[in-house]
Amino acid sequence: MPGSTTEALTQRAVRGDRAAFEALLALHGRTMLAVARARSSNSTDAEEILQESSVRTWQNIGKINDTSRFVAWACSIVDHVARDRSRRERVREAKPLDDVSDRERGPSEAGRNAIVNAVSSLPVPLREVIELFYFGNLTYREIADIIGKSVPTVNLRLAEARTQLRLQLKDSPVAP
Amino acid sequence: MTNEKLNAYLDGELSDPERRDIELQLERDPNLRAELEQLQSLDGMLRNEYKQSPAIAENVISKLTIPERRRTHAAWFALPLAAAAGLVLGILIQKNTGETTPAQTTDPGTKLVSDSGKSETNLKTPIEIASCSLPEHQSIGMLTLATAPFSTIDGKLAREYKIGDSIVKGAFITTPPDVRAALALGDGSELRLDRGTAVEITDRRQLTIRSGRVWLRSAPGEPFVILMNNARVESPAGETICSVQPDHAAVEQYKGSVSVIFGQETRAVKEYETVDLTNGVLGVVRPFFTDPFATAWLFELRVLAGMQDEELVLQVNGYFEALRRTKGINPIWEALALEMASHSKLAIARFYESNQSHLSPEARSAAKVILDRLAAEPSKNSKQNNSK
Repeated sequence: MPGSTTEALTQRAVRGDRAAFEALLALHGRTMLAVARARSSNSTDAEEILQESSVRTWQNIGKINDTSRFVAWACSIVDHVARDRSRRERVREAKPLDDVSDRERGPSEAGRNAIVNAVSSLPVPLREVIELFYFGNLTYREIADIIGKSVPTVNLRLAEARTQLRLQLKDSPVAP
Repeated sequence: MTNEKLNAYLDGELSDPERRDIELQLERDPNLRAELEQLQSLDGMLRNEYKQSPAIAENVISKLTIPERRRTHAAWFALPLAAAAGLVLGILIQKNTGETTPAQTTDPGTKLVSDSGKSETNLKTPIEIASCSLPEHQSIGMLTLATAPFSTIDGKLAREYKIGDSIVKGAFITTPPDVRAALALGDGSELRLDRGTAVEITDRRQLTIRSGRVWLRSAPGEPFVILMNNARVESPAGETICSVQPDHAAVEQYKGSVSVIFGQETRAVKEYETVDLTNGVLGVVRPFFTDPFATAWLFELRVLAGMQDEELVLQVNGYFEALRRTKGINPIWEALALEMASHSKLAIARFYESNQSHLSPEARSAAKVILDRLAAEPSKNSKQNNSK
């Protein structure tokens, strides 16, 4: 897809064209969902984060500064929504700090297989690059644009994430 | 050799010289080869774990609900502030005599300010005599596209509709024989009314079709109810075309499924299935194959609405790109999407002209208009082509 298509659709969405915004979601919702997954403890949370983020993105699209950077902007909203949600849950559940920390790191769920558990237990910055690379099917450059870091940083984080995954899976039946 | 470099090699992120350098090292270093094999193994496991990602994303995206946006800045279809503020244009005409009624209240809470100094006897050219204010809660949608502004008789109230006008609960809308229109409803559902279609928007998620043809994309939620020909069509979410013609009535399902309830009988109609409701008989559910139709209709609305060339291309391009990304399409549509990605309006027109068997006469005519216009402007076209 030419880069200008997203920009043109964004410009239309800014002018109030909901069909254009829905096209943007269809094109980039997978990337937004990848960011949501990196900060969620389960798939339902991720879906709810994406729903809330999509509405906020639509309601605030008139405030976008650079229409050529819709994806990064939308993903930053996903990130904010996920953080807000995490804070709300912390207040509501009044969990001890240790538990909060575990939650943010993404505790594994019973029944999920070893590889999923291993990914879920990664620190968020490492889990984020894994989700964007594998779930979002993005390149290093695209990931760098979204998380606001350099390509070498993405490379470093992905390498570190894989190292940690290998260590965690060392004793599992699916060890690489 | 760093771990990052080996990862970047695995991911195809290195330049050619860097890649060749690593391949030379791999030939010489068995430990490095073993390390790469470990990485490849992990990568394979991860790719296998994430192989359902496109389907998962598609499923989640398809369930997203995007509400009407609160308008705080000018939107092209929101220029008539009526839509946002609940102000609508009231045009009152006494139906039988053609005499103007000074003020007429059609909805509870409607307050009309009369302007009785004007009169009009021709229903085709009604005059504006009043503006009225409606409670905001009565506005349940908006006219988002129309091939031309049109007037419709709503009880004794003749109302002029144009893009951006609000749709109130209980509104009767009749599109003239030469006008098609699209409506966005507050719950995220969309309606497209064919030419000569008469409907009543009875509630937020309920519609009665008197005659004509309606395309509905119902947003997820409580079933969207369509009443037609003594039948009740319930759509939890999906895309449906319902038509009520003098000699034929039918429900066609394009996405999701609907229940068609007629007397004691109920039929489940799934994607690309249709059921007849002709002559008071509920027919059997059968498949149909006209998938380009809805797209042609969208195209036609845009063209006939006078959308600028570039806007049209971007709209259709975005639509197809979204379709391609989320659903997968056949090779013809794939090729079309790629052609459109080059922003060639000519390609679109040629495609529509060459696929006449799938399209409505209007869509073919629209394509021909474009081709004729481009043919009449050879210098401009060649300039455009050269600039690509």
